[in-house]
Amino acid sequence: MSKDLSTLFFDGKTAEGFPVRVVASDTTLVLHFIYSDSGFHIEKEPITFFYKDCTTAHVGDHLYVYVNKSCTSYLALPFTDPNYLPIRDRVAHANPSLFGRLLRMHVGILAFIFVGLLVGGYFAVASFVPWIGLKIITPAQEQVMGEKLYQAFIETEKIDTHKTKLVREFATSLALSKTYNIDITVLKDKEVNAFALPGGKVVVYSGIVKSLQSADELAALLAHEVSHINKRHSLKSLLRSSAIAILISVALNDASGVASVLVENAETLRSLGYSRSLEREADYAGMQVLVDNKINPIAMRNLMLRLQEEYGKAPDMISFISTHPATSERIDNANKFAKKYKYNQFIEQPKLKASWDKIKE
Amino acid sequence: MNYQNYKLAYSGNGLDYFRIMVINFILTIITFGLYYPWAKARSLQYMYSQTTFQNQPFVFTGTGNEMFKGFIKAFAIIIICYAGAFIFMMNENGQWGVLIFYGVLLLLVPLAIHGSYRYRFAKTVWSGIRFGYTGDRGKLIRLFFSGIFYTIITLGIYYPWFIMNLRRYLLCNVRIGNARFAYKGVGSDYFWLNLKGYFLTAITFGIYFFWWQKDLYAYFINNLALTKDNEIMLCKSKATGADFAGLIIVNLILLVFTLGLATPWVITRTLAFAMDNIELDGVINFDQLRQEQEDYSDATGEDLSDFFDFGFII
Repeated sequence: MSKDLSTLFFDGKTAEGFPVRVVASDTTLVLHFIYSDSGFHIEKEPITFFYKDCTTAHVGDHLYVYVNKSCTSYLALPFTDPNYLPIRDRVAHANPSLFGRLLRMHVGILAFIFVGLLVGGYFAVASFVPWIGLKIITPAQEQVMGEKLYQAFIETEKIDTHKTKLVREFATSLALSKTYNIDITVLKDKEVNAFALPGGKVVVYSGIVKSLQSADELAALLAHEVSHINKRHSLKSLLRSSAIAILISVALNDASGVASVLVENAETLRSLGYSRSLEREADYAGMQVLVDNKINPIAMRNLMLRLQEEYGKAPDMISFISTHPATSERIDNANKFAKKYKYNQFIEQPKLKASWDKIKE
Repeated sequence: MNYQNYKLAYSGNGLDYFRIMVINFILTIITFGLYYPWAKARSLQYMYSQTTFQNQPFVFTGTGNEMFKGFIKAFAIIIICYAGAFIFMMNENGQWGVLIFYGVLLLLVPLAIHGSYRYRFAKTVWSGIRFGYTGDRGKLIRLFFSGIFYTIITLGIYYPWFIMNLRRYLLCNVRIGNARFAYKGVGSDYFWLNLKGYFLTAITFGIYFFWWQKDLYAYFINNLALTKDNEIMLCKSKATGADFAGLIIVNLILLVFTLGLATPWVITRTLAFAMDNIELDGVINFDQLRQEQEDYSDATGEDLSDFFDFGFII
């Protein structure tokens, strides 16, 4: 019989395998040594091993049964050995493990659990962490955070002190926020852009102020940005993206990259949709702020049309549109919202008008 | 002592490995990451077991328990480093704090390599015979820091010499039973190999990259040998640049078009490629290989390497 097809026992003293005959009972393996060329083991007594001390590996057409923890002694059974299947099953049965049980499952079921956990974990983390974070972090702490971000940002920018004063004056005649102290800064910058920081800071570029044509449009712009602050959007997305980053690093820990690549790809697509939903919310809340201030919410639509028009002139300068996607859908939404107030009387507010005129001088 | 050819092979398949990775992922997620060391052990056990030499498989005998303990120790070491640096910075010794912090982190690198080599090889068994790493920790630290020193003062030119000295020291101290590995790669060859690879890759718009990879692999394999008493086994790579091009391009396509899901198949293909392309011949009679290396179960270095994200360095 060729050595490849004989059942061999390796004793861990040398690398040589010795031919054996295996007798498998319900709980034990007994090895009887057969005469080998090297002459060892001829006189040797049979050895007994318990299945519960064994581990197996299936490689090619052999089953390897390791009979000690350090795996230095083992039995190599070719598939032709009648004990091949009984031993494999009895060792598995004597050492039940969750991993072993999962390993015997259908790969489709495993893939299903895998995807389920991925999706479930993703949504749990992406919604639970921001939710709990918003409960823990107070507006005061948010303000401190926003202040730091603002200082870091403003260092390299030029402030338009005159316009800042005028726009602040404009804002004082509006009720923008109940919780936050709104603090507006106008930058000397041709870019048509504006953004809000957590805790109350609003940064407006002089480019956008220049392109606006009415007091209502400016009010709409401020209402939109302030709504981001009131709804704590920056904090929410910050918490969300850090939670996702942690999730990705946990997924990375499976050392495979399988999950992490999936999560990252999904995340890129999702975050686009997420920022879109935040914009929608800010539009809606912003229009509510306008109504509360007795300003026709149609100003929000006018603001968007104005910016779209500006975008046609110089697309490079209008980051407001490129970072605020799906404008046509938002215009539709603004129209729908404003329809409800079609029959309301909105009279021009002289104080607002006066501040606006000063800004436009 | 008869001259003969030896056979190294990888017989794992992608689906089996995929199954293991998916289970690892599931268990890692539901235990909030705590299962990681056990997952790593499962993964290594599978890959080792599917690698055979002379029809006998390798075994990875490391356990999740050992690597979990190692993980805790490695984690404690990293935390202490950060805490130390933080205390220094609070006491207005900022620059010194940062300097000491990076110094200690740098010191951890050779310690991690040493520990990882000791653990990995003590836990590698073939045909019942344990591997071992017999390198000296102090020597490795000296080698490492002198290498860094020369690399800095030569503005990086010394780097290939540094890497080869390190590789030579590490591999020459790897044993299996009473046989020992030998590596004879040197810095100057490695330097020219990389210089040539770099320029030809640039000139050929990247096409030469595959041949560069072939050269690097061959330089690793062809300089490796195993010796026992006065017997020797030599290794030779037979992979061509075109083989490497096929491997790498197909791997990339697989990964990109499956969003990474093909990772287990890519790893399987790569391991099979690496094993299939090694030719081994010599006069060692492996039946006479004796058990000689001690067991070693401290996985701290192994886990430190994980923190540094080394993979496994050679």
